[in-house]
Amino acid sequence: MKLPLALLAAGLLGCADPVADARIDALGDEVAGVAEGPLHRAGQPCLLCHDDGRARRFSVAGTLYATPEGQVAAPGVVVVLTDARGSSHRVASNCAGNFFVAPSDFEPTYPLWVGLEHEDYSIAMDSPVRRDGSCASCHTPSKGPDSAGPVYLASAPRPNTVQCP
Amino acid sequence: MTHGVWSPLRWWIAGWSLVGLCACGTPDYEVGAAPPQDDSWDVVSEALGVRCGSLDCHGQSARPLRLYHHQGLRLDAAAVPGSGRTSPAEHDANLRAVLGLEPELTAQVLREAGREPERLSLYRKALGLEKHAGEVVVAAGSAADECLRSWLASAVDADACQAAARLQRPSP
Repeated sequence: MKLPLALLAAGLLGCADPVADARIDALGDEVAGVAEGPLHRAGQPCLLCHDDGRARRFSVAGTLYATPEGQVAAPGVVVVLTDARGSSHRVASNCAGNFFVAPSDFEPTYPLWVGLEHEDYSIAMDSPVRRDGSCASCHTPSKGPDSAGPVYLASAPRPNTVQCP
Repeated sequence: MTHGVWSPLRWWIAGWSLVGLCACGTPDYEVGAAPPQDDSWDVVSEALGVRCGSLDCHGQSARPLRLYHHQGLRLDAAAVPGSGRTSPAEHDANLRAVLGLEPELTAQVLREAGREPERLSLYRKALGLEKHAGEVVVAAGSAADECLRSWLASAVDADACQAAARLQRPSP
């Protein structure tokens, strides 16, 4: 009887990912006044939770800003995703600057190339994404030797900075 | 407690003795010595940085193989990904990282002019010959493959490495 219980315990323990759990815990609680949903947790690595375990899975997701400091959201910016096979998908950011892609809409073959478009302006990321569909896994809030900082549009025209309802 | 004829300690001593014997005859690639200073490494490092050193792969401090690149992890605390060029110090750090991954085995492959590079985890994983989270980043027979093989053979093919460092953005 002890062996089956031990195996069950081992199996349950094996399902936990302490590294991912620690990263999620470090993100903190929801921002007051922003409900769980498309507008929440702007700037955070979406796929940590949106992995089919904790929340519905996204293949690619992130947040766009109008400024390098990441303090002003950039709504209505089109994210152009092109994968290694040449398959392309376009998605627009919402009023919080968030965008997200369901696997049923686009499941990229990495490496994945990313570009942004707004009105007549466009910019492409110099290097491709290799395996992590969360923009914020690399584009953390602070610039440093391991991050280029938040994703933002480099030049005018700036998107209208509307407040979310 | 009794062991077989060879106790674990004897095996450990024998193993390191073998490494020592192998190392004595080829002072160029002694385990633990400073890596050979050769400018040809920089083009190899650049190719590795482009293909392997993104911030979501080996451009992470926690990785056993940590690679620096101007588009990825930076060595200088004041530097930022996406700016400037890969520095000489970053190329040097990459060399130490690659050599340090499997030092004895890498030294052996280098001594043998790159024969059977698939003995190295770096090579096997890059080519997808072994399970690799990044999957295949170097196609067999490609310029990147030739770059790695030529470096291991101590005859860097700079043209292949430069081609390997250029990623083709696919057309939608």
